Amino acid sequence: MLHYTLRRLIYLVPTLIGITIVTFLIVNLAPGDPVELINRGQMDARISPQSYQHMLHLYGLDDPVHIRYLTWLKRLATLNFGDSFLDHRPVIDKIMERLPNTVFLNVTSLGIAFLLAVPLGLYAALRQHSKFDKVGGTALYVLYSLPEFWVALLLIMLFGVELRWLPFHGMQSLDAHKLGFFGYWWDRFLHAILPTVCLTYGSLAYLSRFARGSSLEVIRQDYIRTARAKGLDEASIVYRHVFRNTMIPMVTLLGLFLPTLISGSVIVESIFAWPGVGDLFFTSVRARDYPVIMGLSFMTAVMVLFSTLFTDLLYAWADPRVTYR
Amino acid sequence: MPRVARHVFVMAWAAALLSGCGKGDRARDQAAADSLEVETAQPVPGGSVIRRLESECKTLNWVLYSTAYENFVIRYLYDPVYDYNVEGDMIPVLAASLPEVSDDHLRVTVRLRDDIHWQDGTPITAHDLKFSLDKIQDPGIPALNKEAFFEKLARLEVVDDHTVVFVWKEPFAPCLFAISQLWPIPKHVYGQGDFLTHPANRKPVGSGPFKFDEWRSGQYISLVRNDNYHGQKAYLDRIIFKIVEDDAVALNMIKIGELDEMRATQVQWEKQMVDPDFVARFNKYAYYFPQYNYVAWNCRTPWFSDRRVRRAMTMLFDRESINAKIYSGYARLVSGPFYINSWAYDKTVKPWPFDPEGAKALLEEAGWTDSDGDGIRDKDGRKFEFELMIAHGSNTAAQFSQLMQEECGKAGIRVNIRQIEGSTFFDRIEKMDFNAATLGWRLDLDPDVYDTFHSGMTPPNGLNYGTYSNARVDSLLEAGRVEFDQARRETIYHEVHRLIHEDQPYTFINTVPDKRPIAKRIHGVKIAWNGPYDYWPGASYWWIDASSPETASGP
Repeated sequence: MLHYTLRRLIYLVPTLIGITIVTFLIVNLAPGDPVELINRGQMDARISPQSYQHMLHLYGLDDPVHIRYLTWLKRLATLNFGDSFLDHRPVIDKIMERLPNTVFLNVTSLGIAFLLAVPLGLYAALRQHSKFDKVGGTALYVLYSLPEFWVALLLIMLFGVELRWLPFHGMQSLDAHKLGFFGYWWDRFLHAILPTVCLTYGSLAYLSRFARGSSLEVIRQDYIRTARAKGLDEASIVYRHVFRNTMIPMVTLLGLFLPTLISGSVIVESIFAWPGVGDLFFTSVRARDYPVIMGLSFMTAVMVLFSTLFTDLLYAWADPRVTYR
Repeated sequence: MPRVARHVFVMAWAAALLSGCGKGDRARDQAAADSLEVETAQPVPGGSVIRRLESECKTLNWVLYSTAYENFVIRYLYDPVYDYNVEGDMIPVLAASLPEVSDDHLRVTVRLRDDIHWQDGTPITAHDLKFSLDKIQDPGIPALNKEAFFEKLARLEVVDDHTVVFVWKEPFAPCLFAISQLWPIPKHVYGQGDFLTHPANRKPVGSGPFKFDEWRSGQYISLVRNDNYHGQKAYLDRIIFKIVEDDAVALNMIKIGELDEMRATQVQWEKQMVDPDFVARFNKYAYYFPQYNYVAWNCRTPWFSDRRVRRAMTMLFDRESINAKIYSGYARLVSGPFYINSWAYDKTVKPWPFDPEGAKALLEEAGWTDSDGDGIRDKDGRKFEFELMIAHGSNTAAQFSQLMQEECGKAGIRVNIRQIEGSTFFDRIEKMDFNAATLGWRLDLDPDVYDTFHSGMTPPNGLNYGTYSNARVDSLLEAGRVEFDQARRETIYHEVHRLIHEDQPYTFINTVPDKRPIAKRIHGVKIAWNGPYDYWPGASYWWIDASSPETASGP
C-alpha cells in the first residue's frame, strides 16, 4: 500500500508537467495578448508598434512560447506564481484573497447536496417504481437540466426583488462590520443563501440519482436477500447493509468532487458578485492575464491529481475487498 | 497626437451603449427640464449615492488606469489641471489660469494654484505634475494610452513650484487637449517604493472632492467626502461603487434601490424601465459619446479604389431602416469622421440617401456592368464579389451586414460575410488584409484625424487601414494640426468633413447613445454633451433631497 502510494506520487510529477505544458500552450496560443487587451478596453489608445513591442518585453512576452514556459516552470519550482499582468500583485495573493470565499460556498453546497442526496436516493431505491420515486426522479431530472444563470435570476427576482427577503449582491452588506458580531454573521449568512442554493440544486439532483442507482444495485445483492431471509429487521438491513454499501461509490464520487471545491463557479460567482476564484478566473481569461490563469489551472490540476489518488486510497479503505499493490 | 481615434468593435459598442434618438431625445428634454428645476433648489449636504461598476478595477492610480470604470472612480479622487466644463470649454481646475501659448506655439506655460493640496495636506506642486509625466513616459510603466498624447512633447520644464512649461517639438494644435489629459499624482507618496505594486494603487491619496474609504475586491469601492478639499466642498457624504457584472442583476438591484444609476441595455431601456414605478423614481438620460460606427473600404482593392463605387456602396446601405430595425430608432446617422456634438462636425453635410437606383447608375458609370449576364457585375474580367469582415460576436454588425448583403445582391454585387474572432480581426485590419470591414471609432475631443485619413498614415505608421488618399485632405489635415485658432480650425475641418463625405473612404453608419437611468432623489445632475460624468465637475456635486427617502422603497 505504501509502495503503491509512493509510486502514484512519483507519477504525479510527469502528469503535472504534461498538464501545465498543454494549458500553457492553449492559453498562450489563444488569440489576443494582455498588452493588446489592456489597451483595447474602453479608454484605449492605439499604441505605436515600438511601444507595443516594448510592453511585450516588459511582460516577458517577446520570448518564444517554450522559453516562456521554462521561465514559468523555473519560477514555479520556487513556489512563485509570478505577478498578475493586470494589477501587478502577486498571483498567490490574488488567489488566496478569494479562495476562502469559494471554498466556503462549495463546501457548504456540496455538504448539503450529499446530506440530502443519500437519504433521498436510498428512499427512492427502497420504493422503486413508487409515486415518490417517479415524481421525484422526474423533478430531479428537470432540476438537473435547469441552467444556473436562469435559476439564479429567477431566485433573485423572487426572493430579492418581489419578496425582499434575501440580499443577492456580494458576501455582505455595506458596512456589515458595524452590525456587531451577531448582526455581521447573520448578514453573511443571508448573503450566502441564494448562491448556495444555485450551486446545490444541480449536484443534489445528480448525486441523489447516483445514490438511488447505487442503492438499487446493493438491494439486488444476495447478501441483502440473505439478511431478509434470516429475518433481520428492515431498519438493520437498510442501515447496516444497504446504506453502508451504497456509500462506497458515493465516497469515490466525493473524491472526484474535491477539485470543484477550489475551482469556483464562474456563473454563480459573477452573478452574485461573490468574490471567489471562479470570478477571478473569468476576469483573467478575458484579460489574458497568463500568470493568474496558469496559477489557477496549476492549483486545480494538483487538486484533481491528488483527489484521484486520495479517492483510490479511500476506496481501498472503504471496501476491504480492494487492495493495491 | 497619434491616437486621435480609437477603434472598438462595432458590436462592443452595440452591447455597451445601446440606442438613442427619438425617445432618447425626449428623455434628454425631460432631463433638461429637471436640471433647471434643480438649479433653483438649495443643495444640502449628506446622503450617499450608489453607482455601478461593470467590472472590477485593477488600480486607482491615475497613471496606471485604463478602463472607463476606473475612470469613474478616479474622477472623484483626483483633480485635473485642466478639464472641460459642461459646455465643453476648457477650464482651469488645479491651474490658476488657462495655459499660455507662446507666439511660436512651441512653449505652453501652465501655472498651478498655490492653495492646492493633496488629501494628506501636502501641497500640490509643479513637481507632482512633472512626476506624473515622467511616470507616463517611463518605459517600465504600462501607460501607453496616456503616453501617446505626449509623443510630440520635447520636454517639461519646471520653472518654480507652481509653474511648468511644456516644450513641444513642433507646433501642434491638439497639445492643449493633451495637456488637459495630464493629471498630477502625489510624488511624495509614489516617489518611494515600487510604482507598479505600490500600496497606494489600491489605497490612493488623491486631490479631489472625495477620498478613498474602502475597497472590497469584487464587491465594492467606497469613497467619502474630502472635508479638507481645496475647492468647493462636495455635498454627498459617500459614494459607493458596487461591482455588478451582470446586466440583469444590475436591473434588479436598481429596482430595489441598491443602485442609483446604471447603464441600460436597449431592451432594458425600452421594456423594463418603463413601468410607472420605475419612471416615477428615475430620470432616463440618453447621450452621445464621441464615437461612430462605419464600414471601412479597402481602397487598394479593385472594387473600392473608385470613389463612385464607394459612394454607391453607401447608397445601397439602408442606414435608416437599420436604425429602425436594429437600434429601434435610437441611433443617429452620421456623415463624417467627427464627433457629432463637436464644432468640427459640419451639420450641413447630410448622409448619402438610401438610393439603389442612383447606386446602380454610379456603378455603371464606374464601368461595373453585368457583361456576361450571370447576375453579378464585372469589369475587366473581374467579378464584383468581395468579403465583408465582421468581428465575431458582433450581433448588430451581423444583422446589418445581412441587410447590406441583400441590397447588394439586388444590385448585382455579391457580398460574402465573414465573422472573425476579435484579435485576428484587428490583426488583419492592421495588415490591411481585408476587402471591407465593419468597425467603430472612439474619438478624442480634439478633432485631429490625421492618423486615420492622411495618406501617409497607412499602417504601420498610422491608422489609415483603407489606404485612403486625397491630396487636398492631406494638406488640410496638416494645416489643422498646426492651426491654433479654433474658428480657422473649424473651417478646415468642415472642409475635411465635406471632402471625406464625397470620397466615402468609409460608409459612415451611425453613433449609438449611452443610456442611463439616474435616481430622481439625486439632484444636481447635469448632462454634458458626452453625458453626466466625463467633464468638470461631473458628478462630484450631486446632492440628495432630504425629503426623498434614502432608498426609494424596500427594506
